[in-house]
Amino acid sequence: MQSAGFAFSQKKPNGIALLLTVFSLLMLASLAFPSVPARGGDFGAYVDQQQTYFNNRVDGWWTLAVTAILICISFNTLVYMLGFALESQEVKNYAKAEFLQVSASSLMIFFAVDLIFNVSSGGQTVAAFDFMGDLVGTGASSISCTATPGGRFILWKGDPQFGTGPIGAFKCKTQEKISAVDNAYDAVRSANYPLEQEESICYYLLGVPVWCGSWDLDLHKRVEQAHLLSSKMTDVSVSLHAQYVFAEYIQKNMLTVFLPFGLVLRIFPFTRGLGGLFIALGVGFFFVWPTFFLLTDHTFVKVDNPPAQSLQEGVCFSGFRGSSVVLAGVVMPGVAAQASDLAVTKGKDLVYQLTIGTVFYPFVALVLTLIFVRAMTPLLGGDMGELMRMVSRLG
Amino acid sequence: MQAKKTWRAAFFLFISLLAASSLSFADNPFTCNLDKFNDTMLLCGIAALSMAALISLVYIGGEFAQSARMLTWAKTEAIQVFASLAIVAVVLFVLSSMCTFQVGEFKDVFGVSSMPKIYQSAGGGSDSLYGGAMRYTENLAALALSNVASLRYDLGAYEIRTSYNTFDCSGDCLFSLSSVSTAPFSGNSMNLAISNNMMGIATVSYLSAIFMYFTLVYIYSGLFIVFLPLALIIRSVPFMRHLGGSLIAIFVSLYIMYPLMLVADAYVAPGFTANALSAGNSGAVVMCARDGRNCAGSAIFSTAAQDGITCSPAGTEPCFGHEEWGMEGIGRSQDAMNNLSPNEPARAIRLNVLIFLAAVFLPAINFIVIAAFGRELSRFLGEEADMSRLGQMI
Repeated sequence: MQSAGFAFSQKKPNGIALLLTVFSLLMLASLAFPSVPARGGDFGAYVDQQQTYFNNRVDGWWTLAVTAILICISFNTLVYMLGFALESQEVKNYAKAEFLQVSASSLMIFFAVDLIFNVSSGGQTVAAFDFMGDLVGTGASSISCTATPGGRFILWKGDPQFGTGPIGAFKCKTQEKISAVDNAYDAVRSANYPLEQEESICYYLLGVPVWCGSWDLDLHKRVEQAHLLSSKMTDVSVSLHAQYVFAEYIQKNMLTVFLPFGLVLRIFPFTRGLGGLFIALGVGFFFVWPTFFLLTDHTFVKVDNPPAQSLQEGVCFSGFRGSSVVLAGVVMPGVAAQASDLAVTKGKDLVYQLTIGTVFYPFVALVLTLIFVRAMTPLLGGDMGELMRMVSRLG
Repeated sequence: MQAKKTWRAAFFLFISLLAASSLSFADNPFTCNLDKFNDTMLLCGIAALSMAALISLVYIGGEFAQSARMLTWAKTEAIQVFASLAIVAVVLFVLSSMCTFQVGEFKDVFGVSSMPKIYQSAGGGSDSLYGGAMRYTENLAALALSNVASLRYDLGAYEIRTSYNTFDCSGDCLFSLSSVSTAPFSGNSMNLAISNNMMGIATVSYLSAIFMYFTLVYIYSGLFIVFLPLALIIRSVPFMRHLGGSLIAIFVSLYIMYPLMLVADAYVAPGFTANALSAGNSGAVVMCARDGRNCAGSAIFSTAAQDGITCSPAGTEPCFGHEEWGMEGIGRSQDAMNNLSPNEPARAIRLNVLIFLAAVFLPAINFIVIAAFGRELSRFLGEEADMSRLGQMI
């Protein structure tokens, strides 16, 4: 429904009303069970820490958000008055639809903290962090990672170098692969250096070359294999470093920048699409992406109970870990392999396995996250056409 | 009842005319020293006033002729005049805010813990958002160029090392013409290939950074002075409204969102190096100064509290073991060849990834944001502009 030029598009009032109803019910549920069950242990400490970060950031945004809401409500009132003055039902409908949208945004802002951290129902918290906890366990869940002491990254205990939680686990796994590639590269280079020197030797008689190292096909093959391996390792290393920095970006910005910024942007009609996209990206990449990465990793062990005190973490561990031990050995940094052996056999295996680990598993998690973002964005009034185009081009 | 409606409509038109006249004679709130914008804003005001007068005439004519069609047209156009005035006012307000808002205030408003070093060292964050965006792109382009210079040196060094041959002519080789040639540094050919690979990434990063820089120059100089006011005027004309709305959306999103996103990138970039690339056994991110560039621009990854990239000047560790080998023909001995010490490949990979993310990945996110904003705004203004396709055409 458009007038000439100035588009008074009537949004779907039923969808907005449904959204408002859902948020209202959530709010009521939160009020009905105001006492949030305490989350104990490392998981509780992790959620508290994230809540502190979020609150620190959002506290500075309250004025901004409330100002934006008031501006929009004032503008909607003016538009409604204009519609009343001109007896234009179209303008009045637009003002009403916008009022509902602003109300939905206001509810989201005011209850964002509850939705992410505190919503409880029937004595159980059902907030976003708790959904994540249900999926990956709230106890001593862990993942095999040789970059952390003990060889296992305990999810909620974390590591000072990588942080805590699923994103910390992802960074640990990535660092493990980076170290493995670096070591493998050094080993291949060490193996190749004397071979290449040998290949460069040429014997001359009467000024004519009578034998050169490069004429030895076996030697030449080994040198070329080393070149090929190093080239592949460079690609893998670039990808791994990019993934590490990307994870750092997500860890620092999704919950503290994208989500609050999205909530504020969603208030204004002309930034609603962007705001919805930001909210969906913030939630998707902070909660969905690392969670699915963990779930698709076969070394992940879910544990809901905290570890027994008598168990030494990382050494004795309850649960299935057969394949994890095998794979952890493959990417263990500092493997003292024979140089030539690594160049021909172990190097190939390593590159193959690292390529799968670097490209395949994160890609599966990324696809699942994008499906989530795609489903959530329209619900929030967002537009994700550009994002999908970019992803398809990258693909 | 009919008289009441007429009175309300007349009152609204009167208010609109008052608003339009006050706009056309208002002091220009824009403080970015672009005087040409005054004239164009005046044109916008005159266009709005003319339109309001035309609407009044049509409305009077409609009342006189009892033509519902004319009355409806007048009402619709009255709304559009109101909308145009609101758009002009909002655009002016936002632009003047952008000119007066300082990058240091960005930190306070958005609750960021620390300010990027590039802003800290330049007047303690007193740059406007436009100045801040320009400072960031200048530094990013300089860093990308420093990286290219560093890699260029590496490539040269590896080329020379791999092609260096010793010719062993001992004993009676002069009489027997028998000898042995060896390339002692031929094992560096692996690193040569990697440096080549990195050079490709570095070139893409540099092209992207320099593209961002010139785009910003174009936006500041051409877009604002010529196209944005033109779009505002076009929107004041009834039959060009869709085009005008679409153009306003594109230009406003470029003129407001693009610099804003670049300043946001400046705040995000130092976070990449906080724990990321100095972790584990990877070592610190060290850049070697080559070609007299002194790691220009590397401050974009630093905050006031810590440096993200450490610059190692020419002739010092860890870039060189001894003295710099000038690649000008001096030092033809094998000992001198050892001094031709390029970067470690792993270090070049880390540095290149970092610069690639800042110069290519973050701008890609920026483009998604700008395109989504432009599409929403153009839809709001009456015509949906597919900025992605427009970008493809360009």
